[in-house]
Amino acid sequence: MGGGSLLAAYSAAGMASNTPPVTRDESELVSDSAAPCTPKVRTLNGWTLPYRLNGDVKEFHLVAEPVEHEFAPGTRATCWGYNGSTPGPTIEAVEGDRVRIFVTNHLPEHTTIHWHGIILPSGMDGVGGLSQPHIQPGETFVYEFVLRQHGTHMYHPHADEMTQMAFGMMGMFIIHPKVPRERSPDRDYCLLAHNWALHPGTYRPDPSVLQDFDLWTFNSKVFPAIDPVVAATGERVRIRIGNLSMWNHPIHLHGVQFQVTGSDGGAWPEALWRSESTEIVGVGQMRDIEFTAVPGDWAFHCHMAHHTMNAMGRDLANPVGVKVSEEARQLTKLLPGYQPMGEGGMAEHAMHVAMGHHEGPENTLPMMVGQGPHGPIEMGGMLTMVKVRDDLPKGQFSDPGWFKPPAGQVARVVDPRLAPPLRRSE
Amino acid sequence: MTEVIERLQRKFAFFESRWVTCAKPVLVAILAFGLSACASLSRDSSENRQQIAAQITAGEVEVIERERVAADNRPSTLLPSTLAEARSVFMDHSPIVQDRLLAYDITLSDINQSEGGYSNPTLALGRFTGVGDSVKRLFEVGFSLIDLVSIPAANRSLEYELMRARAQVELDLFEGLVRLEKAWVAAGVSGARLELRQHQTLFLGALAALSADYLEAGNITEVEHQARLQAYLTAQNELGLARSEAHGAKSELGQLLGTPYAVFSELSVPIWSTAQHAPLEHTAVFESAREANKHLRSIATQIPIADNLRDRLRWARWLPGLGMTIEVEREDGTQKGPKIEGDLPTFDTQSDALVSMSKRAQRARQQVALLERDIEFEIGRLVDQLDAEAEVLRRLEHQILPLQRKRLALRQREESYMLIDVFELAEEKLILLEQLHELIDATERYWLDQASLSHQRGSLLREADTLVWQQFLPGGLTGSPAGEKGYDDHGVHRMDHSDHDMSGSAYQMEHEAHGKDHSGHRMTQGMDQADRKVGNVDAGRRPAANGVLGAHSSHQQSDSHEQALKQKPQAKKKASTVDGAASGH
Repeated sequence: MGGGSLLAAYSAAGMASNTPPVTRDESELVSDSAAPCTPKVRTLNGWTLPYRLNGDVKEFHLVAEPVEHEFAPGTRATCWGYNGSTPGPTIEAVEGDRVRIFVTNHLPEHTTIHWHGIILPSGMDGVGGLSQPHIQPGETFVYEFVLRQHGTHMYHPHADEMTQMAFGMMGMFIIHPKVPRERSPDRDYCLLAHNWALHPGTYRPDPSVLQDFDLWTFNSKVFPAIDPVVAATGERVRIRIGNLSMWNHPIHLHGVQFQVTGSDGGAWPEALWRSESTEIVGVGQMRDIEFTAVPGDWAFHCHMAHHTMNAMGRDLANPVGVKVSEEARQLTKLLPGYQPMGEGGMAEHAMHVAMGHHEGPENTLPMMVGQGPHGPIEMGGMLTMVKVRDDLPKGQFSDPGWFKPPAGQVARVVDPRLAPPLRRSE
Repeated sequence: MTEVIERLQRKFAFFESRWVTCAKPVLVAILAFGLSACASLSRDSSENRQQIAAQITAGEVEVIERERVAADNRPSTLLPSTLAEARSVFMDHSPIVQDRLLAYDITLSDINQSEGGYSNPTLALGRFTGVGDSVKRLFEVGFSLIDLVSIPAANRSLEYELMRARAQVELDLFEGLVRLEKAWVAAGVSGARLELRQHQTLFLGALAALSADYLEAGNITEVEHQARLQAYLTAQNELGLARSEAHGAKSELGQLLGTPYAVFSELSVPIWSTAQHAPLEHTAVFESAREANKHLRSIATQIPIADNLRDRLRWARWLPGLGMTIEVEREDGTQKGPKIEGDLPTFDTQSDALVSMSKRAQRARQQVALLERDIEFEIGRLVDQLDAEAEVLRRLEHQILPLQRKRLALRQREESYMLIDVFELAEEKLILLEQLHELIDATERYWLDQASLSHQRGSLLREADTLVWQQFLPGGLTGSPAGEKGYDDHGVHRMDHSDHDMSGSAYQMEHEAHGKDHSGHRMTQGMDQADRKVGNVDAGRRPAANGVLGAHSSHQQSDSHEQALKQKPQAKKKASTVDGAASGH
């Protein structure tokens, strides 16, 4: 059956009612006609969409709809997503599968879904107006195609894209190879990088912002709310990274040299793997990285410094180095609440916030947050940790807590006279 | 009176042509002197006993005669704290009031002097020697009968004149009270305005000082800093003008109250709230104004005067000048008999005067009607304006200012999270201050209009509660953070923070030294540029301090701030010495 006729056949409301959508309610993950849901990929803070086998066709049902989303405790927004979440659930299938994906539109405007990076018939590509009519509010469309490739891919709307993506409509589409590689990773994670113009004090993302975003997220969460990547020592770990934000992200992992093992073109042959500690994931691109876990708590983040911050001001008068005079301190009486700070650097701000001295705008996270075992971590946004433990049971993905380093393996304060510094001189 | 005198003159002329008289003038003079002396004695004693004074009774200004009080007319040293007290001081001590009362007293005396007086009867005795030894003796008593009619009529006119004079003086005093009320409002408002300007100047001064700190650190440009400095200097100008305005307003109030110059500046006047404003109904206000408007009442007194004059002339012009004489003449035998003589009013010699009087009466009525119409329109304008101003103030007090205050608090939160900087935050406070100026200006307009409306209604301004405009400033006027997270808290926080391991660490000290090095280097270049531009080393480096010290006068409120700014260059010099040392690699 051709794509066009399928669309016509399945756009009837009666057909959609035969395949009720799966929501994020875990109790609904398995229905009487559904195949056992055994996701291979762990979506940080997310979930995988179960499918139903209809003959030899895997049927998925996505519902585009508004969702209430929390980026981290203290910041939430009315976003748009799929099946109750942003990002939408990860779709997993196997190379060679025939997939049938129902898409119901519960948004207040029309939408489509583009299967980003997937080889398929033109009519299934999901570009509204070009490859298909728009899915009007209340309508259900169906997409059906055979997966002729494997690798890490994404899905997102291709209708009023700026608004709908800015509101959080996106998801991962992972196609496993029909013939698994000789040594598959022990743990397989995926995340989608995104940016949000959720202005301090507001509750809905602003789609008109081009570059000055407020929140930088992995799977629509900011540090410290992003789940850690958890592994046991010596395990092979893969992290699949997609980027549907408006910026490139140099993703950096501490503690190891990872191999880049795949990209938009799918999994690379081992001969093409390359070792890196930072890999730029461009806008609209995907990258797979793999490494062998070594014990410790390792930072994993975008290396654009302001992408590991939460909402911050622009064009501020720089306070660093400003010695506030006594007469200027009069302002603290005339502007109750104002406190000069930042002379020594902006960490002072994070410290005051952590100590509860400052109250910020509602629904806003401080620029720098997070308390580690040794003090404030002073980051935000696209930061999480790779937590590797020797004794982690197989199948445990929950946060194992802070790493306890062996004695003598933590940097410490010493008497500076022990090592007089050398400085450049004439 | 003139008529009587003329008639007497004619009578005397008649006698002189026929006989020589000698005794009559003497008797008339003696009689007149005696009566006059009695009247004078009576007048002197009343002058010492009575005094014309003014008092406010049930919202009405009333001129009264009262016992003379020895302490009156001395300058008052009272500094009233309420409008009621001010009115009392005004009525008892104001030189303006005293002057008007004295003028009224003079008018009253003049009227009393004119009141009166039937013409004295005439008495004539004579002895004439005729041809041979014939002797003719004459006894004549005369009285002008017309006086019986004309004198009471003239007195009635004087009563009207007195009424008019009284209405005029009460109008003058009432207008004086209105002027006092407006001066009271102006003094209160200008005091509030001055207080606000002082706060604003202090605020902009502190902001300019902070800006200078940023400039010195090399973190902002001179252009950015100069804008803030200009704002501060402009605020100083406005403060000077506000001080002058407040001084002028108090001066006028002191002048009206008769306060000695040495103490008038101590007058302390509150600014009133408009919270009690009730919408006014134009018709009702106008009806009450028709009854009680002082100007209208004063003008209206002209109507009976004009009517009286006209009516009097209407019938008096036909009255003959009648005189009655009893004459006794003895020569050979006794002859006696009454004689009545008088003019024959043949011609209507007063017809034009009557027309003039009629027109005057008509004009008096027209003037009253015209004034009533003016009052009606003026009341309409004032009622509309007051309702509009009350609405403006209600919105300012209950919506705009609380919103801006909340906005400032929210912006403060943004500043706390480094989403905006302190200079952007300051803009919000400046908006708040401008809105407070609007509040004070609108309050002034409202109460001046209320005073004008009361003027039209012939009533006195009702005192209101004090407007605590400072409530709209975060922390109040002094910036006290009571009830808000404020400076003191932060002081504690700073101490907490100092306990943290970052302060005093070798790492931080090293970076501080680097920062100083950098700052010192940059700022030297900045100074050179400033020198070239302004020709003054300090102009670019410490513009706040320099500008302030150059432009500021010795005003108490800014003194502490100036002292601080005066110390600033020394502190900076010290800092730059450290910087210089640090920069010498």
